[in-house]
Amino acid sequence: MTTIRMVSRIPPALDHVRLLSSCVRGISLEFLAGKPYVELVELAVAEACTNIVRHAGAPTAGEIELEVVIGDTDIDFVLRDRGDAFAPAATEMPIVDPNKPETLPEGGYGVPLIYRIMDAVQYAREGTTNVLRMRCVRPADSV
Amino acid sequence: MDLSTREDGIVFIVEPLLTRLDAQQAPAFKLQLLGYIDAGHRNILLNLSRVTFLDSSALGVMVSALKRLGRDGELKLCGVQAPVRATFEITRLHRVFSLFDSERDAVASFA
Repeated sequence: MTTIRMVSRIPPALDHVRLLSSCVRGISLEFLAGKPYVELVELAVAEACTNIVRHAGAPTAGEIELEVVIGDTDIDFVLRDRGDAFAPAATEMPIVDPNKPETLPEGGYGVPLIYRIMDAVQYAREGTTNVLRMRCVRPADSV
Repeated sequence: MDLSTREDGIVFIVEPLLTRLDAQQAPAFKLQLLGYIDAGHRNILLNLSRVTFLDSSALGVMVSALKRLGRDGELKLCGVQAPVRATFEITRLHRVFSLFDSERDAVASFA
């Protein structure tokens, strides 16, 4: 199969995140069919976009770019923005104690969700650009 | 944010009338949900049967509501679709919230 490459760009605003999210849903259902939690690939990309909007200095971040590279064995979802450097931290899921609801954290679930859903996640600062690469391995029967 | 509310006995049922509960909706969702609690509702059932996408911001709203209720009330969920249920399972919050398939079973569990 020939590698397919798609690039989309949106302004750094929450009301535009759903547009990218919808694109990712379509791609996932088409090219990742059979993968556990395939519906959540959309969630992982949306969480990453929301982080950019909230934390990377938007609206000075410029446009958010999503590059999707569909290969024979995997799909890369690559997000780029020109906001403040922001390496996703706290990759461990917050501790949830059902017996102590008063201690439940109200945030901190987003980045760990990305790491659980995607097969590989890598952040780099390339010049003035934040680059977040999220890889999904394609199930054999989806190729 | 479009929410439908109704009462069934002692249970106050809140149903989002949209398919997506995300960071854009979260502030209004939180305001409304905490408003119901502050108005005195203690047995709250969130019917998520229309929701197919739920992000960490929406999860945070539910946790916030649960904490606002404290030991004096309950927040349960029903109509949770597979992708949303998976989100609860990955975050382990399915251990905190009671999830029911049907609204009827969920309402009965409050008794």
